[in-house]
Amino acid sequence: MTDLLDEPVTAVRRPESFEEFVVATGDRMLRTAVLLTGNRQLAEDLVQSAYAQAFARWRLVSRADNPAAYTRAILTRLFLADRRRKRVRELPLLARADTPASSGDPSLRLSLIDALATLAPTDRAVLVLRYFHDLPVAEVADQTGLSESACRTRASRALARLRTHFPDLADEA
Amino acid sequence: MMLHDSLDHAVADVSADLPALAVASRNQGLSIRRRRRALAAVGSVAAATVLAIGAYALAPGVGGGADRGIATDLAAPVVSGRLSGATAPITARGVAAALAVSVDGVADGTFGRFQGDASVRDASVALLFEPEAGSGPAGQVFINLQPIVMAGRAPYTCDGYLEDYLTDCKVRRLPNGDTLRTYREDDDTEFGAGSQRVVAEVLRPEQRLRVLVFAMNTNPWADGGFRERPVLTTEQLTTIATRPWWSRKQLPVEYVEAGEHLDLYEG
Repeated sequence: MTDLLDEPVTAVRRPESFEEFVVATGDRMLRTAVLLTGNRQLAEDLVQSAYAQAFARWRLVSRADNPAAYTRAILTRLFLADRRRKRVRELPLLARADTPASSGDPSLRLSLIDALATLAPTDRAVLVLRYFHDLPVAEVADQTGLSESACRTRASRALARLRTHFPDLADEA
Repeated sequence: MMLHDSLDHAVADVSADLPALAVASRNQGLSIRRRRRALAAVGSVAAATVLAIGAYALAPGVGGGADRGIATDLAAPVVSGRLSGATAPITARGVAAALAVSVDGVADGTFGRFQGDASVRDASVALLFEPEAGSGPAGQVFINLQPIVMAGRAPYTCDGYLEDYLTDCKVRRLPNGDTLRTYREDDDTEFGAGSQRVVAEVLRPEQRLRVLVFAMNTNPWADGGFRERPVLTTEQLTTIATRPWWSRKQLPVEYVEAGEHLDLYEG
């Protein structure tokens, strides 16, 4: 299925309904939330809340240039505003037992999420938006409420911290 | 290994029960809508209490400031189709609906905290509007439909007290004979340094009507927080103020009916 989360939506590709929109963007939104929270349960709650907020203003969201990006911004702000969040070190659970494992080193997959969870929430959000969604610094700054300069500083610092665990990690900056 | 690829691999196995997610999100969203409509009718203290319990999210673009406790996430009332031309006696709720629809026609954003009053003499309505563009707290938009005598005698100019207290005042004659006057006021003594207000008023001698609309860069009911500029521009306010159907006595029936579904804050 075409990933709508990072592509601008043209008039032709605007979602016909809220349900279609969730089906088209839900998996990637959940993956974003898992990277942010480090915990599947928290991620599911976060995603549902973000989509609920999007539905509550669906008239606006559906007319946005990129409804998926708009909803991801809601998700990011929810994550950063959640005062009840705690540092989570549990390993993420897979969605379904029959989902085939992807390629790559399983221990690396689990450990990277664990390492992300050791970062400050804002640093985590900056990394996920910048390197998972490949957003420009200006947009990352806007969604996290930081200046562009602070964004770059936080990304650099967070990368340095991840590299203490994974020395071979390279960025695209 | 590239970080992008590493992150991708880390969550490659993650997937959701999408149909269930859609249903649950819709139900939760409906609940949010119902509660936010109710919040539009209560005071800011009560609203803040409910929001603290319910852990409402900040809307994208909302900055700091004490007005977080006031929900500004309502869409404008829906008035579909062209106006029929039929009118009904003016109500405060009808003016609120007309103002919200008019604002919605010139700018994208959300609304909250409708407040107003209508009497035999005049009608006033205020609302909070949070534009989709830009960042910062919601700002007040206000309309007053009053007797033209409140503007003094013709000719309507930028002289006198306007020159002393206000800036950027401009006057022009409209094609229909009405007068449009626009101006701004910065650093209001009541709302403090940093406050900005832009005003558009239309003076209609034949209807003995003064339509005054303004927009601010702040929520005057909150303790602080300013946007970079007022939530509407002078041009947008002019479009709103020059709507031909504003009146002190009657409104398009579509707006009166739409207003019946609005809750007004009483305070």
